[in-house]
Order: sequence, then C-alpha cells, then structure tokens
Amino acid sequence: MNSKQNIFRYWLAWHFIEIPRDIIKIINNLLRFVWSFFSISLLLKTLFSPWRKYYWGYGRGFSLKNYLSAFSFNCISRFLGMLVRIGLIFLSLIAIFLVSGGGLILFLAWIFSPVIIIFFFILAGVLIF
Amino acid sequence: MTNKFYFDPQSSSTFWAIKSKNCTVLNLGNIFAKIFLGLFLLSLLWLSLNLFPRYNFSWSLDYSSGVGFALLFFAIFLISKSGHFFLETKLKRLGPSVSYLSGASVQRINLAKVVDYRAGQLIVKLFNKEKQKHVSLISSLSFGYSLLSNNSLISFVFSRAGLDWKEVKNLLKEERQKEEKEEKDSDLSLESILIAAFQRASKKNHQKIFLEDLLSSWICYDPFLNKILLERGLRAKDMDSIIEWFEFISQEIEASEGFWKRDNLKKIGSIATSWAAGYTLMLDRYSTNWTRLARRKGFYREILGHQSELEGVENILVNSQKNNVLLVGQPGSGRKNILLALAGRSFWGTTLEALRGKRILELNLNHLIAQTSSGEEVELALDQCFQEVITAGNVILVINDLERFVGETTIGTVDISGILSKYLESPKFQVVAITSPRGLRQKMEKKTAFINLFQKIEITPPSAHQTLRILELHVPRLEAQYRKFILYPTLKKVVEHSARYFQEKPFPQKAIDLLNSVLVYSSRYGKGKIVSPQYVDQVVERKTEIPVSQLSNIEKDTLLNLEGLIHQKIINQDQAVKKIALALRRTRAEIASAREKPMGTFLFLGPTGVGKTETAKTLADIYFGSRKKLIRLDMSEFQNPSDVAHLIGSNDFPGILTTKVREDPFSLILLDEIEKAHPKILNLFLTVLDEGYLSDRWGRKVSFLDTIIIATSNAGAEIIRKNITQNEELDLIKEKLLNHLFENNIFRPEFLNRFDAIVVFKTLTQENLLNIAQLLLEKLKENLNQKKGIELIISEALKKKIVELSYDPVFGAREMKRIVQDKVESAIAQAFLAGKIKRGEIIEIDTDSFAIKKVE
Repeated sequence: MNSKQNIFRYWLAWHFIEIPRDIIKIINNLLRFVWSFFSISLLLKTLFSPWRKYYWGYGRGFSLKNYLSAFSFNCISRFLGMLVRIGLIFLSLIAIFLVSGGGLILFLAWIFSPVIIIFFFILAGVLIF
Repeated sequence: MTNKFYFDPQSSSTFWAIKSKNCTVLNLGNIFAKIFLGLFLLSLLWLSLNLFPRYNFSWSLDYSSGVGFALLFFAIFLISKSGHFFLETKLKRLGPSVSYLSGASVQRINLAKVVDYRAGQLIVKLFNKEKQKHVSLISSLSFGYSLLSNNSLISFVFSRAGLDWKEVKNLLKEERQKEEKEEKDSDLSLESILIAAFQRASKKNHQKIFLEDLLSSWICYDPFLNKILLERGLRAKDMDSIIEWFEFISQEIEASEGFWKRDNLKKIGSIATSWAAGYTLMLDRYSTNWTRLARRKGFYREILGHQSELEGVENILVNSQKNNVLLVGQPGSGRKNILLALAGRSFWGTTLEALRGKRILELNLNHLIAQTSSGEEVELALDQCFQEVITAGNVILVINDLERFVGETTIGTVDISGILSKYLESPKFQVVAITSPRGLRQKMEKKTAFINLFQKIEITPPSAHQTLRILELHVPRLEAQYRKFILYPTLKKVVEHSARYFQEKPFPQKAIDLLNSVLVYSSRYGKGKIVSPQYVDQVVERKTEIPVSQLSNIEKDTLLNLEGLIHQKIINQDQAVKKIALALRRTRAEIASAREKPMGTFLFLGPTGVGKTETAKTLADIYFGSRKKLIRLDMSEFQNPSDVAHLIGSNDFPGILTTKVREDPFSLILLDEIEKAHPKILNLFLTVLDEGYLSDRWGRKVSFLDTIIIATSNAGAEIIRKNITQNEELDLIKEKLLNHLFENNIFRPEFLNRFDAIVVFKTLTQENLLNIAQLLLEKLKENLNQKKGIELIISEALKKKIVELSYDPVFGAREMKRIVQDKVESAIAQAFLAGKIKRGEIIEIDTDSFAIKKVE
C-alpha cells in the first residue's frame, strides 16, 4: 500500500468514526451539563415541597382556626414552589431541545461535510463561469 | 538492558507522517485556512456593500460571480482547516502508546514507534544535519545542541533555573568542536538518551516519548551539561523538577481548554440547588461562607498533599452513624485548605453524591460572643444557628479552634460542648471541627463522651517536595502581584530554609510566609526583576540572626582565630578550645553538610571552677554573638523520670528545652552537671546527640541541627586532681576517668560515645589562677576607664592577694569573681561615692586593707 492509500485509510477512520464519536461525547457532556445546571433531578424530587422549606407548624393541641391558617399558608408555599420549579423545568427543556438540535445539526454537517464542500465548489464554479 | 530496545524509524508511523509530503501540505493548512477565511470575509463585505446601489465596488465583477468567489474561498477554508485538524488530531498521534509497549516486555521494543511527533521532527532534523541514520552514532552533545532552541519548554526550564539557554548552546558548540578536533568519541549517544526517555515516559504514564522526556534524560546523563550545571550551583535533579513544573502547567492549560469538556462545564456550577434548602438567617449573620470563597478562588483540579485527608473527611460526612469530623493539625498545616477543597468539590459537584450542593459555613463564634451580652443569650443564638443547620438541610458547619470553646474557658470564650453535643448525634447535623494536637490533649481528651461524637482525622503537614509544588502553584499570583520573576533555586531555598530555621510553624504555611517576605524584601532592596536565592539567605539572616549565607570575611576571621578569641577569656584548657574550634570550622565551611547532628556536641569533664561553664558562655558570646543565645539547664533539677515533661512540655506547661530551641534554633545548649540527671532524662538526649532532633509532647519534631550542645560534669574530679598533681599525661587521665565513670555506672558507654568529643579540663595551677585574676581585673579596669574615666593599676601583689583569698582546692577559681566584686569593686564604689576619687585620676589598691590609693 502506498503512502496516498495509507493516508486515505486514516482519513476515512478519522472522519467517519473518531470525530463523530467525539461529537456524540460532546453532545452528551452538554446534555449532562444542562441537566445538572438546572438541577432537574432535584426540581422533580422537590416539585411539591414548600418554597425554601418555608412552612408554618400546626402547633400543639387543636384549633381549627390555627390549623386552617397554617394549612392554607403551607399550601400557598408549596404552590409557589411548584410554580417556580415548573418554570425552570420548562426553561431546561428548551435548553435540552436546543442542545440536542444543535448537536444533531453539527453531527450531520460533519458527516456530510465532504459532500457539502464538493457542492460548494461546483456551485462556485457555476456562479463564476 | 539495551538489547531490549532498538530504533527503526522505517517501521514507525510517526516518522512516516513526518516524512510524508502530504503532511507537509497539511501542516500549511492553518496558514491557508487563515488566508482563505480572510478572503471569504472580504468577499462577504464586498457582497454586503454591493447590496446598496449608492456604492459601486463591482470592479467589473457581477454579483453572482462575487457569491461564487465567496463560496470558493469558504470551501478552500473548510478543506484547509479540516486538513490541519486531521494532522493535529490524527496524524500526529499515530502509533502505539508507551504503556502498550511497556507491557510487551518479552519483545524487543522499537522506540521509534512511541516517539511523539515533535520529538520525531527533532530526530529527523538531526539525522539530516549529521548525515547519520542511526541513533547510536549521534552524540549527546549534537543532540543537546539541536534540542536547545526557542520554544516554550526550553525557555521555561532554563529561565526558571536562572540560565541563558543560548549561552549553554554556545558552550555545547565549543565543546563539540573541541571533541571533533581531538577526534574524541563521545561516551553517550542519542540511543542511551532515548532509552532513558522511554523509561521516564513509562514511569510518568506518558502516551509517547515527549520532548520533556528527552530533555530530562539528556540533562540527567550528559556529563558536559552536568559540569555546566554544577558550576552554576545546579543539579540535574533540579532541572528535572523544573521540567515537572512545566509539565504540570501544560497539563493544567490543556485541561482548561475546550469548554465542552465535562470538567470545564462543571466549573459553571448549577442554579436551583439552594431552592430545596431552607433559609439560615441567623447562621448567615455569624458565619463565613466557604463555598463562596471557593467559587471566588476558582476551580482547583487537585489538592496537593492532603488528598487522603480530604477523602477521609468526605467519607465521614456521608456516614449515617457518626458524621462529624474532628480535624487535628497544627495551624498552618493546610487544615483550612482541605475545607476549601471540600467547598469547591461540593459546589462543582465533583464530590460524593450526598455532599453535592452543600454549603460549607464556618461559625464565627468570636463574633457571636461579642454580639451577645450574656451566656444565656449565646446559648439561645447558638441553639437557633444549630436548628437552622438542621432545617436548611444543605449546611456543613465548620467550627474552628474548637479547643477554645470546650472545657474551662477564658474571657471572650464559652463552653459550647453541652449545647453542641445535643445536635452532634443527629444525622442531619454535619460538623467539621478544627483543633490542634495540643488543644486536643490539653482541653478535649478529658471530655471523652464529647470527643466520641466525632471521627478524628489527623492532618500531617505536606512534605518538602509537596511544599515545593504548592509554592509553584502560588508563583503566578505572586509574580503578578510583585512584578518579579522567581527562580526555581529561590523556591528550593525557601523550602530548605523554612524547614530548618522556622520550626514554630508547619509546612506549607512557613514556606509561603517566607516566600512572601522574600518578595517584599526584594521589592524594597532588590535590583532588577529577578528574585534570586541570595535574597532568601538575607531574609532568613534578618529574621533569625543565623549566618546562613556564604561566609563573610568577618566570620571567616572569627572562625580562623577562634582559639585565640576564646583564649582571651579562658585561661589554659588548650585541648578543649581546640576541639570546639575544629568542630565549628568544619560545620560552617559546610564540609559536614551531610551531617544530621547538632553542629557540635561536647562533654566537659573536670573539677569545679576550672572554666567549663565559662568556656560555654564565651563561645556563645563569640560565635553566636550574645550570651543570650545560651540555653542553660541545671541538670540537677531533673532527677526524676517525671521531669521529662519539663523538658519537652506537658498539657499544663510548655517544654523548657523544646520551646526555647524552636524559638531560637541557633543557640548553645549548656547542660550543667549532667551526671545529676536521671538516666531516663539522659536517654532523651540520645536522639538529640545522634540525630539532631527531639519530639515534643505533641509529637512535633524540634531540630537541634543549628545548636552546639555542651554538657558539663565534675564526676570523677578527684581522679583528675590526683593525677594532675602526679603529672600524669592528659590522655591517661581521661582513660582512668572514663573507666571510673563506667564502673560506677555514672554514664553508660552509648551515651558518652554520642559526643563529638569528651574533653578533660585540667585543674588550675597557681599561674593559671594569676592569669584569671588578671583577666577579671582587666575587665574591671576597662569598665572603669570607659564609664568613669578612672585608670586602675593592676599590680602583681593585688593579683596574688585575690588568688590567695579566692583559691579553694574544691571550688577552683569559682570564688574569684566574688572576691573581686566584694573587695575591689566595693572599695572603688565607696571611694567614688564619697568623692575621694574623680575622673581622670589614677588609682591603686592597697593589698592589705583594700583601700584606694591615688597615684600622682
């Protein structure tokens, strides 16, 4: 095998196996980052928890008035917590969508880059001449 | 060994890539990429300007052709960039790794296969230049000459060593020409260097044999270069250490490149982790947020010297049974660095799952106590803070100097052990308390139940080598702050000197402090930007008064004339004085640098009043510059085994000996009447005499390397006295004396053998006594002359009278000083006060009545 054949074989392995593998790795890293940046697991686990653990105790003994006021405050606290958390989860879903979409475009662009470049050359030739 | 290796570039893909013409074209890819990117951008500009009909930049080119050119330039840019990328990420990394070949030890190894692209380029260049195709025919000098060129590795290594690589290159050239003229064959070839480089790469888990490995091996083995280094006070080991420093920085830079890497993405942190935790309003008022501090300091890839301790802390904190840590270490040993690393790991999520997102808060007890007016209020505030730790659920509480707040308390402190114990048992309450070994033993060991709520982790200070690496981490910040360039020998000297002369603090703090002082000193007194090792000597000398630098002329004179100087104050005892002078000359000339013992250890044997103690005092005066440098211990006060505590310290008081030597390591230690000490006390000195250190009550090593130890004893004085009267030889007397000491179990042979010299002091003759009287009276005369302007005449009769009054066969000349004081000094003082003598007068003493007579 001559030097030209050798280098072409290296290029094929590099372009179609090694770099695509690296791109997948990068997309994976970015998705993991989005997951941890928005603390999605934690948000889901504590979705209905009171906001910043802020709640009223029911106290000793039973008093309907106290019970109702504590109950309603705690419900509001939990509802507020849920609202903020859902908002953030929604934002994180957008980020995941962008990373996945961007990653897919990058991946495809890389795989088809030889064809794209050839297409550019042909198009350039047509436009110039 | 050498048979295992060979070098065949023909079968190496790296060398194939270097020689391949395709690679040469690809190498130009980056330049092409830049040019065509520029052209593409220019064509885009042209296209956008031509969108506006006002401007006419068409230069007879239609718009569609312009788009065509833009596309063409962009396509060429993409090809060039991708070609260069292919070269960098694939072709330059061809071939097996070092570890792969190391594993195949049964086969012969072709080193050419594991040479890195840059190193390969250098070898190919050398082959072409030397017109040789075999590595065994290329001399080490030729290789070194080619290796030294303007690149980041060579510039860094040589500039940090304080060397000019161009100058070294010229010296190599001259030596090579000399060898060629003399037709001398070089002992070392490139083949040997490659084998050494392979072994280094394999040891350091390198993928390939890099330029760093080749440089290190060449420096290590080339005899001519080693000669150059030695002449400049450097060793191959130092250069290797600088290469390691360069490798560390390169790794850090490489790791920080590429935002998409998992570790780099972690640096960004996360939001919303605190949303699940409760508020800590009270705690925030009285605490320091270590997590915020760690974020501000940035992301540290590793913690030097305390990796295992950090992992220990993490393991304890996630333990469900006992999750409180007690860090025991000396202040300055890196205790807080461990917590800073924990805070960083916790914030960036590189720690154990259960610790991620935790906040590390240090409770500022001093502030809390100062803000409250009564003990009850303190308790209430603490209770609220601890309650908040539990409700927040994401707090690890740090309590610094715990020993100050446990047990008996002083003004400004309270005992928090009671209230803290209540919470320590809760699995939701995680505490890292910090204390020192001394604090633990003095205050807390008595509180067993309280201590049992913690798991202890002992912090050992980092080694000298690790400290050097820590200093290297500080260098960029310090250089930017002081606008100086710190040489590697400076860092090395900082570590060596701080280890030896600053025993109060542990590593790394003492080395960091010294480096800071050196930089301040060089900014104030230094010339130029370079911080050389001499500044370290000067700073240490200023701080400790120890002459650590090269011998000055004055000191050289002192050492050469030491016998004469001592004899100005000590009469007779030639042998003793000579032995001391010899020992000191040996030490200061650094002939005995490998000696890990005190500078000199002597046992003075002889009757009372013959000058044993006076010799020690005189030496402290002459050599150490002041009698204040004398640490005198009356060994008759150490007659019980329990007295060891007085020397090395106990829970209730510091050690007399260890504390003084730690504070002032450049001292003379006088152990008076050593025969009276208990044998167990003498055993304590065996390590000091033999290895030059002693461990104190808290296990801290106290170095005695810069001390002179003199022990005195008058055991067997009778034998000396008897034999001296019989005119026996001094060596014979010494032999008899030693036999007497062993037979009567006064000293054990292993104790006496550890002294550098056992010196017998002779009893004083009448003539000696007259000379001593002369010395004492001379001193008085000088004093009188200087302070009162009165001239005292010292007559033979006066000297004889003083000797007659003071001499006692048992006490020697000990009484003489008292007699001079009582008789002569008192008489002069009385006469002066009564106005009988005035300034400018000459006086004489009447030897019968000790009355003052004026001389006309």
